[in-house]
Amino acid sequence: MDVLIGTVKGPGESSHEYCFITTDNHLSKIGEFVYYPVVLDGERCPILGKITERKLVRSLPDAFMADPQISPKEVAALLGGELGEAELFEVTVAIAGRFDPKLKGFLNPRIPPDPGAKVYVASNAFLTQVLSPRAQDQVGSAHLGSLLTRAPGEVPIVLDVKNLVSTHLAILASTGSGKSYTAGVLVEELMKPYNRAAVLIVDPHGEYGTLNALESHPAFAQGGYRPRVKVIPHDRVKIRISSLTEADIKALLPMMSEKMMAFIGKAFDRLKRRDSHLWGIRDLLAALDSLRAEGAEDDPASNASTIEGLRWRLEDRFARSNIFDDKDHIPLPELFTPGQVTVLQLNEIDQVEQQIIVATVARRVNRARMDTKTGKALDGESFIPYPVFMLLEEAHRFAPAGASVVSTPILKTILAEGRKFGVGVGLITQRPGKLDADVLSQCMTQFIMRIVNPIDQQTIAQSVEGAGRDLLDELPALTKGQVIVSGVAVNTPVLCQVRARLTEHGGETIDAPAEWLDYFGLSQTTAREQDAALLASPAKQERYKGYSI
Amino acid sequence: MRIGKVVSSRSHVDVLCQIDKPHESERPPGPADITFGRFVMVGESTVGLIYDSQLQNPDFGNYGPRLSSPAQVGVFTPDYFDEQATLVSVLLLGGLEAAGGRQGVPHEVVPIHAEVRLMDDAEIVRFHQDPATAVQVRYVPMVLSHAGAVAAPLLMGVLDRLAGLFPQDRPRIEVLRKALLWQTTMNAIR
Repeated sequence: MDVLIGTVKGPGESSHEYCFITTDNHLSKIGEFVYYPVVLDGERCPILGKITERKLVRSLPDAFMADPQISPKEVAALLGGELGEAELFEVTVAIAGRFDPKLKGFLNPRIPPDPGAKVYVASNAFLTQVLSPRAQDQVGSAHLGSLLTRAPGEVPIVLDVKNLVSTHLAILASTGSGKSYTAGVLVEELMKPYNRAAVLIVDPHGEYGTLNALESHPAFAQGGYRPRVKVIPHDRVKIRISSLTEADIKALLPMMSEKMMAFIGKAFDRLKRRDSHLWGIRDLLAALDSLRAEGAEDDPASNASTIEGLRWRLEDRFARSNIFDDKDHIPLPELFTPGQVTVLQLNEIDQVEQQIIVATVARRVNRARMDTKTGKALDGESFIPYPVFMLLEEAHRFAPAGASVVSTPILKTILAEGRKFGVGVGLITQRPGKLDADVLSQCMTQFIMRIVNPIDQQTIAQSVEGAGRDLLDELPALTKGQVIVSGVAVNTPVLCQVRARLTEHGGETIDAPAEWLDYFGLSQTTAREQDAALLASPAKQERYKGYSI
Repeated sequence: MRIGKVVSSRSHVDVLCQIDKPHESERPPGPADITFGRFVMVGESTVGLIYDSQLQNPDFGNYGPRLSSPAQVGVFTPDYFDEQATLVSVLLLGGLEAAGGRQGVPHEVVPIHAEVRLMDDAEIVRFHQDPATAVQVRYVPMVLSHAGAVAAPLLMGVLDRLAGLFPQDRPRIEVLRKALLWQTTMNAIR
């Protein structure tokens, strides 16, 4: 049932806005969907729009509010009972348009409402039909939550997984506003029996381990299907050295001179000319050694210090790292399998190494998908005959603004071309201002949560085209779990309350006071006392009947 | 209690009442009866409020010699007394009928010589009683626009009186009274 809420006053400031007057303070919420009907081809069509601004244009005198015990309306009633409903609101609406079921989108018919036209609040049933591109529990759907301006569950927001994962997504939120929680909900939806996605989560904080519960949760089981969750802890992450690029090696080695850079480049060229694609650190060192006389035939010793410096750096770097290995690495099918979410825990790994791990995995999977799609790979490790999706936590580490790190180029490549080969990326960051603007603008679905930092807000306004400025004004006012979803996975930008997770959330803020109290608990106190106690000296040997005891 | 009669009007809602003189009534009104801010009944059912007064005295400014002393005037020229009069301005606020009070511009035109009498507390309560909201003072805007410079003290007096007659509504009457007091006083100073 559509509720009549107000009357059109006239056009708004811009061509796609109009204003209406209402006395209703509760239904005219920011973000609420309203419509005015027009007749198109003999049919009544609702032209949907979203409330973006409200102004109080008539109100009771301030002096009537002097006594908090007395309602100003009661005072106004002295002057006439009908004066109680004194407030008039002028509400601005941004027109979304008429929903076209064939195009599954909104078309603006450019028919402005007549002044005096009636404005209705759109019904839950209508919004359920037009806001979400998919029906709940349908193949290719992801139930994120419900429309924030309505009661929980009344208008479900269901995303289109096809667009979501193939044209990339970004979750932008300040710390503690629920970005990992939202990502968790998305992963749950991707692992539902009607999606069964191949998902890799790059988890620099180790907070996605709780997704394990997916495997045994009844909501994810159907027939013989049960999702698998594979958590790869940091000590099991292996990168094959031959999958590193020249840039990776250069990034890993500290304080490199120009000459050293040149030698590494030449050594790489020599390695590439070999038949085998598999090489190890010893091969690289050997290639370096072969360059001792390069360009210094008269004085072979002149290159020696540079080569030695490089050798020292390479040996030091690769000898003390457990990540890089001559042969072992995690096979792609182990990382990406339909119906499996792989959590790559990178906590306790140095940031440069994290970038190299991400770059290597991204390069390998992108190459594998290209080879599979083009028929170059028909089996083996490079054969990945299904689309894949990578979710990157702390994405600003892997594609920072104003700096190019080893993972930036491959991420840019995937964001630009990954759609064609079925490689999707989800970027999660709490500092959109520190994320490369090109990378951010390539994410076609945005989940924007509470952000207070003005630089981050500005970045979002510049990079995220889909979300209206009006919704971005809401950013500081959003609370935990409230998200603005815009882009290709929804029909129009919406304010959404993220649904409750089925599995436990692993990224909770640490309860410091409780842990401090635990420190003084009996078990911890006893353990400390035991650890600090002096060691008892061993008893002296005694002799009994000639035997030593 | 009768206090006088309507002798003229300035507008449909603003009439002049001449106060009865001692020889015109059995119980002529005393100074305490014709006070600023009293509710009066004009004619059969029109309710008004005394908001202004004028003293008519043709002798004012005549400083020439007189043949009679003041004590002899009544004996030799009794008409002279009739030329002195007390007039009060009454702002008409509505009507009081059997069904209750109706606040607003009265429909009827008040006839000349219509009787003006004081209203008792019960009538004042009936006039202000509103079935929905207990007490009503819908005439406030009209008083503010017609009573000129004395509107604020006039309304203060009226609201004080109503606060006494409607003790249950005293808090909200007080908010309105303070709002008016602040507005009229501060606006005047600014």
